[in-house]
Amino acid sequence: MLSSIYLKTLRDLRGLILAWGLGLAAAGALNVIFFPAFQQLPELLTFLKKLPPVFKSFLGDIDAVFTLAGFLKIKLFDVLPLLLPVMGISQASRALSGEVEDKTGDMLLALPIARHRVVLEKYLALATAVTAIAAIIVCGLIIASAAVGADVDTRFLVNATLNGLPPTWLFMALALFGSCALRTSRHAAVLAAGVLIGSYVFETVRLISPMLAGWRPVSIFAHHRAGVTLDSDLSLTTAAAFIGLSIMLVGLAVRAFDRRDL
Amino acid sequence: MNDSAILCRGLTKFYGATRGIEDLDLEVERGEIFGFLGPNGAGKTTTIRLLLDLIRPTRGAASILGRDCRTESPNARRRVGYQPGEFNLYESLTGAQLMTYLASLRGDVDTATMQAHADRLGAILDRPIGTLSHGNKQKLALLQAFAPQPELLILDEPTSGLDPLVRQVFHEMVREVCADGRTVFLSSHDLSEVEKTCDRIATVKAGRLVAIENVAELRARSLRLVRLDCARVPSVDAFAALDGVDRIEVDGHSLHCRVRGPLGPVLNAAASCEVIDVISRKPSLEEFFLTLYGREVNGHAE
Repeated sequence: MLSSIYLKTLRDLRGLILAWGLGLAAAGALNVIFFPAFQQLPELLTFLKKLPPVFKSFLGDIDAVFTLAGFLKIKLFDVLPLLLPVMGISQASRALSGEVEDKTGDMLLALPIARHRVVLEKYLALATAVTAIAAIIVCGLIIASAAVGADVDTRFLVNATLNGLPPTWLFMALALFGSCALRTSRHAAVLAAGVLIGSYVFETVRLISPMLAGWRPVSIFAHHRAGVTLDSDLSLTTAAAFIGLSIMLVGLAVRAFDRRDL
Repeated sequence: MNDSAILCRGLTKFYGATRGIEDLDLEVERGEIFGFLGPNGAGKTTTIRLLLDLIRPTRGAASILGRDCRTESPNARRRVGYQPGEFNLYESLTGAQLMTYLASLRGDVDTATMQAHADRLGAILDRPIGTLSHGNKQKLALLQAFAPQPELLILDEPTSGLDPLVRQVFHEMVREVCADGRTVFLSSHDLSEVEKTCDRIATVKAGRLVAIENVAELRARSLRLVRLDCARVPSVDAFAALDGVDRIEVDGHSLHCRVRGPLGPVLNAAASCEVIDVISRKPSLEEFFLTLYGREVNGHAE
């Protein structure tokens, strides 16, 4: 478990993987278990249908909210690309500058290893960690659905969860870039978290503002939302775009780390 | 291509307007123990970090074992063992896990050699590093530097926090490295340590190289504090005329003076005072160092 930077980083993250994975899986499982009770509230449907269009735009198809898939979409899958990046950013922002701040970096980087190897292995370990968290969430949802005999397509659960990964990888790549290019991990975290929150706010405003309707292509969360449809497969094009951007940012991170003083 | 263990030519590093090290010209031969001496903030660690390509020079160049530190990094570091001055270890790992991790990344560490060094240093390998004292962490830092048996050892304040017995083991290990034809570059502000171990020393002050000296020659050129206990009250005039003798003080039947160079003329002059005892304190490197840095060395030989 300690034969590479990749495995060492994963080892360091094992507690976090379990905590976030089990926590989000438990939250998802509770939604599955309590969904039948929610379904038996017809007055809620009436209330939702009377909401102003602005609020309805956040919910999408009102009738779909009363299916387990639609319910999970609003309660879990729409917020997953906000929650997973929070974890990802907190770790990625410390990936490199954390080694410098903790004074462990000198010993590591005085070894005969190239700096780009350190950056790449750290990023791959972080990407693996969030993927493992997503896998735990999927397992929790499938087990809970089977336990209560819920009528939900397993493929939807898998695709909707996996759809949260590409944006997370992107924000982690941004935080990693910050960690390599900026002086402190705090600066890196502020950069990535700022873009994350800004993107979320932008998408929220875009949904209710006709003036921003044409800005959909630049909204990260609009692309994510398009990937979590109730009846479609995972949007591979969107995922590929996120992955492409992530690779570009990791490339910039490598370049920045290779040039900086430690 | 050069055959030096370390070669610096005009090596300069500025942190903004602050000078780290400037125009450092330095050559360390293979097989020697080279001391790099200076007070805190003199530029010792900056130089080491430049050699290891942890920071990049403002100008100038350096090479390790014939390889350019900048353009041939990390190959230049392949044959280097490094113990940082200020460091933290991965606190959640045990000493053994840390050694496994670093050895895996290096790829050329013999487990038996590592264990033998660990036994000599008394390094604790089976406990989490976070629970160890500073001295025991220092042993692990030394262990990871020595274990790969590198051709060049770069040690930054290596004995900080070590007890006297482990210091002695460390000095033995350094001498063994040298006897093996390998090189040690030892940065320190502990002058007695450098005096004990090094063949040559470079002194740096405020980011500039002050001198490179052979330790033996350096001692010969430096001061001695001498006390002569005589049967008769000594005459100051007999000593004042001697070259290299100053600070002459007479205290009853004792004469204190400061001598630069050989003691022979002083002893000849003392013959007329019926000398009972001579106390000559061998100058420590510290005293020489203070002289070098423009401060006065006061005190007596007792």
